[in-house]
Amino acid sequence: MAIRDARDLAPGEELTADICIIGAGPAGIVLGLELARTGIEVVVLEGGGEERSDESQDLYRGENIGEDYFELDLTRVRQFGGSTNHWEGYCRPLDREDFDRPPAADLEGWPFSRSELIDHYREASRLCEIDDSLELSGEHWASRVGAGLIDMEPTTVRSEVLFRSPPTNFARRYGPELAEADSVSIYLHANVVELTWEQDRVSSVRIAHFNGATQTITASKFVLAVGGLEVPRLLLVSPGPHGNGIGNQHDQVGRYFMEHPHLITPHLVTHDLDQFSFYTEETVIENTRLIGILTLSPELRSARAIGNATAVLQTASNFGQRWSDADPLGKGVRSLVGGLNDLTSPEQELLNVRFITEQVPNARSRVVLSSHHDPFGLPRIALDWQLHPIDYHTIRKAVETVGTQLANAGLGRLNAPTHGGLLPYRILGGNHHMGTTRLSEDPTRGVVDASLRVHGVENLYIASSSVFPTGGWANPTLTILALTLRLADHLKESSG
Amino acid sequence: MSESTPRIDRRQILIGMGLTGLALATWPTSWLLATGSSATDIAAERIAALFNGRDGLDGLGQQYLRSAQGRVDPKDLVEEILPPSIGLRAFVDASDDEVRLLLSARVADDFVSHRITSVEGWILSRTEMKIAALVTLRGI
Repeated sequence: MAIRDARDLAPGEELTADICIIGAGPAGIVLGLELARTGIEVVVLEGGGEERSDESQDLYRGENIGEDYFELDLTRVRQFGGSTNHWEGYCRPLDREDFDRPPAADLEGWPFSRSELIDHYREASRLCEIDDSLELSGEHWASRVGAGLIDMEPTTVRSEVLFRSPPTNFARRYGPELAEADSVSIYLHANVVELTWEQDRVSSVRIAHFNGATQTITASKFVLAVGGLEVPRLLLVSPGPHGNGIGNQHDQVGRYFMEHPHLITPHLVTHDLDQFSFYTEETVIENTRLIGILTLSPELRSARAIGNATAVLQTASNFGQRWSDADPLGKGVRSLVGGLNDLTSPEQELLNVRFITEQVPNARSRVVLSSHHDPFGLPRIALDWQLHPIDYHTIRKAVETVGTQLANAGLGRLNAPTHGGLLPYRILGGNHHMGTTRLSEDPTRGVVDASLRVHGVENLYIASSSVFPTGGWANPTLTILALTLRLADHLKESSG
Repeated sequence: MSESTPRIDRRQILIGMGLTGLALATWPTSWLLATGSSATDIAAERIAALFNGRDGLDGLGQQYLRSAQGRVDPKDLVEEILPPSIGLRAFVDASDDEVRLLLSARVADDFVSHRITSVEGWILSRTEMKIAALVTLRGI
């Protein structure tokens, strides 16, 4: 079947399918492909078009009422292929320990272990066109190219790697195959405005157009495959059996919003830039692109009761002179490092050190409906991003540990500027939206069960980072895809 | 570009300390004898002479002095900066490279032992801050 424009459907037209997938980002496309191989009749609904448009993107506008955050229409993409239209391609599975109970939180971790996802992670890696060995050890990859690693205490900080997809654009790479599948229909510009409830299940979804026309899609099963901000919105705007949103009988939908707090301003004064080449320059081995990173060891995280974190190093040579002029204390640090290392030249090199950290799930951090409405009359969202003291503790400890280890290795001195002297550091997000319909076997503490089915709803599933009960620090795409492939297996079995 | 000077790793520091111990057992305290200055003054001068860019160090030194309780005596700073196993008189007779190794070992030990401090975001060892304070006091 070809890719169709939903605006060409007749007003009031009704479509039917075995499974209706809402969203054609990487999850929706991959799920559609998997189901197509079994002959299951699938309808894929994508709100955006093949190109980005201001009119469609505007539907993502919303308010930020918590921590400073990106504009909500800029932090996500409403387009066939979703976020893979603009991603940088960084990929990594979650760590084994990321599946455990989060630090100091009164919440469970994942209802299954990482090992249950391994085969799916491998397949997800192939889809992202990266190495599928899931080998993360820096030593393994550095030895293959004869690169040196930074000498650190492995029980504290480890050298590992972060993979980089080409980056694969899922619409271009897999869209044609999906469009050619006989059992799949793809509709673009299909704005889902409501999930219609009927006797313990979703009976249909309603799509709407800017000219006022609407259509209905009826299916046996529905899968929400949109992002972590839009999933709770679609559930909350659909009244459901209790009038407060589908799956929201315990007021869980939209809660536990997690990001990956980024601290991007630290820099390292070093006299030995060559030591960092494995970490600052991309390595390509048999078509796999990767960079070295520094990660906190599980032992340290456990002992300190902090979240997961990594440090990504980037050269900043053009930044050096301006920084030197602007920071008198930095000049002093350069004098210290130079004196201790007998450097005859006053010039030393700078590296930017980006810390990417884990945010613990926190019920106060949430997506709610706003009092503002979009052109279809639906409430927009308000994001109340809240960080927990543990999150700041994780950031501080990550900076301190990596800084100490680098200094101890004789490699330089780290600076992490404070923000106004009040907040520990200026924190940004990573455009990663997780946790708003979290996985939990307990319906009072989450929204979906281990099969990704919404509690209390017979036929509604979610394939999104919104189901992550914890988020680690790793970019979420690979885990979203692994969960999607796992869900595809479940749907194939239950539909067969 | 980066300097060609190799970094000092812990093994080098230990070797350096061993060599220093040997040297200190045999070398005369010629500087001290020649100038008549106190050993503390000379040790302070040996330390300060290693570092260029006094204005930058002064910023760090002032931070240390402000955070210290009461008056800071350069003599106390010298004693705290020197490794406990190295005598003052022996220190002043060490070569520049040996002084540098000794101080580097002291700083490395700070990081291992978590004797660190954050100054406007800079993660530094306490010995480094004391060195900066010493440079500042000598300039006053």
